[in-house]
Amino acid sequence: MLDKRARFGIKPEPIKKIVRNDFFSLREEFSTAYKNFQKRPVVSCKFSEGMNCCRVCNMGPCQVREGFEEFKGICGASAATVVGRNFSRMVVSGASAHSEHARDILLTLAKKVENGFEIKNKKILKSWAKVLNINSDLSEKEILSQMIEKIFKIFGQSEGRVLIADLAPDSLKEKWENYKVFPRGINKEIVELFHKTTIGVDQEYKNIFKGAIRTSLADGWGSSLVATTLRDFVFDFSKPVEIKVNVGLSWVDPEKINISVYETDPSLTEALIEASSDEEILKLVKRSKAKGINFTNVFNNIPLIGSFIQQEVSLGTGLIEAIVIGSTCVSPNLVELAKQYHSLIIVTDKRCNLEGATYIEFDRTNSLEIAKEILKLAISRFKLRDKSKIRIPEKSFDVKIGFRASNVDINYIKEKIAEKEILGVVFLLGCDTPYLGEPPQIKIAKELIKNNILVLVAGCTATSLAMSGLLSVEGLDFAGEGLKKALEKIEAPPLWYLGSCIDVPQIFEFLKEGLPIVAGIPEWMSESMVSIAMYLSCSGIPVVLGSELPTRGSKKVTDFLSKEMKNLFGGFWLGSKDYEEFVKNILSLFKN
Amino acid sequence: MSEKFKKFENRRRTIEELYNTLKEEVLTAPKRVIKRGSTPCLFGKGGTCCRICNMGPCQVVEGVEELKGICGASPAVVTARNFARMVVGGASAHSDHGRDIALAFYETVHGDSQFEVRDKRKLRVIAQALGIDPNLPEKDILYKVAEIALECFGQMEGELAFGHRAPQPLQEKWRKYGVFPRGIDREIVEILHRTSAGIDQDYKKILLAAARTSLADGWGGSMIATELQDFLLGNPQPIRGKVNIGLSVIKPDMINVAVHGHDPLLADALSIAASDPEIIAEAQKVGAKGINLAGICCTGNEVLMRKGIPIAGSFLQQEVVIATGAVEAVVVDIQCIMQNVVQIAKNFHTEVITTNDRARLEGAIHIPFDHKRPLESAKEILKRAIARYPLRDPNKVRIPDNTIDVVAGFSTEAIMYMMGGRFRASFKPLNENVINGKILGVAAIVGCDNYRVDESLQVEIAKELIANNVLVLTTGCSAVAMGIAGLLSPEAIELAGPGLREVLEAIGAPPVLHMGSCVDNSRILIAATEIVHTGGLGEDIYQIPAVGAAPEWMSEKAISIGMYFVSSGVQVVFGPDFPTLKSKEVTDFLFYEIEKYFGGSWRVARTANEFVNVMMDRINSKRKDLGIDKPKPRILYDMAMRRNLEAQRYVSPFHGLGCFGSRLKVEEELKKAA
Repeated sequence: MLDKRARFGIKPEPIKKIVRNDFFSLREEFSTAYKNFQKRPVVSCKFSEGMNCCRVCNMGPCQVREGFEEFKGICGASAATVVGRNFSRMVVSGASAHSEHARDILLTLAKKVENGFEIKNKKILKSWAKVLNINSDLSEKEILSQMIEKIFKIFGQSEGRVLIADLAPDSLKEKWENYKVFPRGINKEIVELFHKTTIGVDQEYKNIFKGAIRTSLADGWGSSLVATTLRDFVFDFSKPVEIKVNVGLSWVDPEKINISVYETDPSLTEALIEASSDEEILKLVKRSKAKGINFTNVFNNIPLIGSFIQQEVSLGTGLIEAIVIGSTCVSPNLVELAKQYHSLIIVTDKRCNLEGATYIEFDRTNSLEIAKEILKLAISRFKLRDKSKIRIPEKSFDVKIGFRASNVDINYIKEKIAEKEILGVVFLLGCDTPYLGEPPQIKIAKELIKNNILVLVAGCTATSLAMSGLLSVEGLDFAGEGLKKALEKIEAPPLWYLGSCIDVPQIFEFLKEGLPIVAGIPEWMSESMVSIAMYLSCSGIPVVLGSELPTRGSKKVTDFLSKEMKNLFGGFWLGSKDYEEFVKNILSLFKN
Repeated sequence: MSEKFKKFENRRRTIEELYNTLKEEVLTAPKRVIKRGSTPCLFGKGGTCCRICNMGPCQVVEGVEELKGICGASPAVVTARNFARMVVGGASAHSDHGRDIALAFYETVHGDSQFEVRDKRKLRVIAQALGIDPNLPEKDILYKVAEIALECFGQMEGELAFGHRAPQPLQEKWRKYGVFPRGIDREIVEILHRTSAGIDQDYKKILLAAARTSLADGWGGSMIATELQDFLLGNPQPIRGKVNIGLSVIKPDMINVAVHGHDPLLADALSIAASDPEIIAEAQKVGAKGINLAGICCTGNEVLMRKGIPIAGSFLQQEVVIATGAVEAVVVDIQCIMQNVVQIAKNFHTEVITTNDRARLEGAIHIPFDHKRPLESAKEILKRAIARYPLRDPNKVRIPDNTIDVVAGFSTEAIMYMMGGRFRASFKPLNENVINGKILGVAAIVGCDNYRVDESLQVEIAKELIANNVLVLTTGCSAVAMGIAGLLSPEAIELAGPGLREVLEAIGAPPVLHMGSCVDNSRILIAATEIVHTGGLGEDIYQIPAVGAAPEWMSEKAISIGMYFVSSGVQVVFGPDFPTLKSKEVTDFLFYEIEKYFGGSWRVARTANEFVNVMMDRINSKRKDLGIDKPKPRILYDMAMRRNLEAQRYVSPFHGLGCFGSRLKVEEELKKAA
């Protein structure tokens, strides 16, 4: 939920001391999004907020209200139809963002396989070869290239099955088959659902939802699963990765050229790292009198996806020479903000343009040259640093990242759950939105671990939490007795970081192990979150939102999400009025 | 003069008469317009309401810094994103329709379906356009066409095969600006990704991506739908038919089944099943003489131009058809079906039957139409309708008799045949008459009709254009409106200006040519390309004196159609409003700057007068650019000039093939000739 206080000019509460660090004070100062929020002289339109504003044809836009015959659409569209359509369109765009991401990663992997590389996670390879009907006796390279080809086909196919979804447990698959929502192709589902939501096509909200469910499953058990699994082929996640470099703003090195990279596709990062040891570049660095190049959010070659807000905040140090952006959420405020500093915003993806940013298209066939070009630009900015604007942050934490069901002792956790030392598992995900003060995610996470709940985190929510130190073992200080005892023994932090929002399907591995999981989305901003919440709930995971359900324009639709879905798939949506209720709702789900 | 026009005014009368029979409390769409307690929101209308993330919704105002989006998104970005998503809506609708046809075609070719490939005349032309060797045996070509058509939807890289049918200079432009579509689904998914929160935030790039998506519709999804429908159901040829509600359209002594939507396969199966002895016997058992089909919306257009089945009405009349009280069932497939249809049907014995799993209606019954066994599905549907007949209340039956005769079914091939006959089929006579000024140009009036538009704008515009010697092409619901106004009948030729009239009388065509449903706008693209290739009117589509209009656009599909015409070099005039008007930057780009890229541009007009002015200006300026606005003085040629005349011109491989590729140079035939 957004901090609605901003709109009414009420002063925010002072930040609780314990999490006060430089990140948050900088956030207060530099989050333009927050200021934009405060400045807006209008409140959001109530119709749009409840999704009951229909704009799919030029007879409207029609504001519709449930229960009023006169307030149906001109074509007679009921509130349930309109809300269902709007909701589905959010699922569609979320799913298409992930589909495009996954294809990028697939392209990168295809290139790597061509050049010959060894994958890190052989176990997964086997199970994937099986569902994709690939002979597992073949050589690894052969399996990989066949696999890539088959997955490519799944994106484009018009009928059949999304074979990877067969990785789901049989009980789930049966439910999907029975309700006729087993996805047939990834892009096919997207296009069909969009078609369904145009004027005069599907006008029965449950049938519209069938499409939304199917599309979201093609995302969660299709594109997102492909993206996260294939990335694991490239990175070594045989055990959680300890990050020696501190997260927090001390990842910025005042004496080096600081470059932030925000990209889910690893090839750009790799090229940049490779280019940074190129002789020509080294010479240029030397001439610029900097001590080297520092990639601020890249650890063990893994870029940590910075959150929407974090992107703005890191600029506030005055030490960032360049922010390199692939295709990911970017705030357009970035350009405005960068103008106040010497920082350069470089976009590299042709789908992702920012007015006023520098555009250098990243091309996989010529990656090194392009990376060098980017670095040269960044180096040239170093001398433009304005000393008066520099703020060097101090405090920071060590964190562990890259938790997977395969690299932790799940049986131990199951035991502890059986012994009631751990109450259950909550998966916190979501975006972060502009607010002041202690981010609610932190408050929530602390409350949850105090109640002996093991918390898994992903997405921008995780970034906020990383800044609070809860991802480090010291975070156990906030945990309840049972959880603390259990986790101390295996030296694990109370919050387990899975990755960015494309890594959400990693939760399915935990689910398959039979852990009791509830997903919590304290705040959401992007449409991809709607798609994620939908596929989680259709996979039997209850989803608790920190706000009311976005479908409040129609009670019928809200009831479908919060009640009927439970009978169909076991998962459902639950809204909360505020954060206290959010925690209460989550805890109540573990009571029975 | 006014007497003559009056003869053609009967749509309003039919609609009003039937609406008056409904009880006061029945809310029809026009009544809903009046009864709504609120007017359309101006932010939504002008494109400046951003709803793509949960920080908002943000209403944005151009020029006010405080009223940018919370994320800093400028009004231009917000408007461009909204516009792009409308293009996506249209493109996905057409493409998903096209995919369905492609799947049915694939099944048919492989013998898995009761359909057959009825019309193979165009096979070699299409094979060549898809990059298939036309010399292959027919069966192989069929397999390959089916395969490649399906592949176009899923492909991720490369260039869409049908895009190569466009004039060479246009293709070059697409390549230059990076908008040559790579795959149909791919473009839709990519632009949806682009327009989600925090991705593409340069409005020009978003709009160019929208151009690419729309081209994947016009030269992709829509064109595949049109061509494959022509294979399965036959290439439309001029055919006499009837439009508007009347006793010969909705027959009092028969079981009336209205087919509504866009997918012609269902309607075709129904028409075959309707003459099945088993069904007729069952109909007679309940006391009816048989089954009568009537079309609504684009399904209506499809069956009218292929089977001569009458059209009861366009999108605008879907409610009043039911209000006749004599319709047993409204069978709907996909697109443009108002949810209100179910409400109105409740007041009568009419049953609404949905047939496509994509499109269900609350309160309707669902009988899925199976492409693999179309006849059985169709019979099941008709039996359901027969069962309703005894429930018909004779007191409620009221059928105003205002039917009008029309001639429809002018596919590109049909027009070429009409102009040149079997052996010289081409657009040459048209080009020549445009050059000599008897015909000033060509205008396409396409699109929907809209309850918020008071007058029948499109009819007024068409009348004025033909009076000014402009040949009018029409598709979709506009075509139905033209039909009801009488403009599709050869008699309407008396409304045409003298030059146009002379030409049309010679070839025997009405002044407004009905080219099909809304996916058939791809026919206009091909016609325009043929006109270019025929010569004398420039090298690219943007040079021909042609213009498009959608005066009463309603659906997102219209925006996608408009965009692919603009990106193919045609100026299109939309009205009475346009969804980017609240952002000057975006509107300027779409209205003016885009012309520098592809030669086409958008315009907006409100009244018939404004429309005609804009359209005539475009035609006249194009004539001037071509130098055909006034008679040419005789030029004396010297030797060098003559040699120049013989210089090699680029000839598209798709040109000069005759209607159905009769002049396609096939090796076998060449050998025979030798």
